[in-house]
Amino acid sequence: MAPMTQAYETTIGPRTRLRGRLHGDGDVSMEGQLEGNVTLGGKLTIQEGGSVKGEASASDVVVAGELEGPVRSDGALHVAATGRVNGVVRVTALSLEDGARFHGEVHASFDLPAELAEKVATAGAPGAPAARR
Amino acid sequence: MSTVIAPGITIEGEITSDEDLQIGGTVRGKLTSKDAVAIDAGAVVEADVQASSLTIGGHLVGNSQVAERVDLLAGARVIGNVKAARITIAEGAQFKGNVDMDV
Repeated sequence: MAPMTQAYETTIGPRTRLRGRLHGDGDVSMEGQLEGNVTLGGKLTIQEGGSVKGEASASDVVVAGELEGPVRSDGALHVAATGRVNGVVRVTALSLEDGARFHGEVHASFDLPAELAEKVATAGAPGAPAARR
Repeated sequence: MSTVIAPGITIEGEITSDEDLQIGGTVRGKLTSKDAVAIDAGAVVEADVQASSLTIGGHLVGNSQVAERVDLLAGARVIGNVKAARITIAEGAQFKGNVDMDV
């Protein structure tokens, strides 16, 4: 058994299934299946073959597997080439690799460049993406 | 291949696993593994546990049913019934419950 002093990270292995709630501080690498909500102070990585069906909230989220459900993060959501995301996404940054599949809404809060922010403010252009903070 | 639940992480619900499981955090609910389960010192498990073998250095509240062996290490605190073919209890382990060795 690992000594207590050894720093170890949470990994849900490929042959493990969870049903319920997973929460806490620290990072989680998901190679297995979770049906339920994840709330993390750290980073959530859904590896290829791994899946989460439920709400996901973490400092950063990386999806190389499957994520079905709303995502909330003060950081970034990155969907790798093998990744699939289906849900409403509220993040400060979003990146999709070539091949990534995404279905849902994006609510990203970031500052528009000054010249764009001005345009939006003066025109109030219908259909223009609103700058949200 | 194995599953590790680090200190600071809590799982409430059901865990079903076909691989080794190491717990340093908190688990509440039900835990079923076809392989070895280790509850490290500092870990808290409030669940019924099924495993092929079980090593406990932390706290376990719940009944366990284990195919092979259960080892209670020094510092372990177990409240619940244990059913296993073999069991060791180290000096310094606390245990309250019944033991069924199926003899």
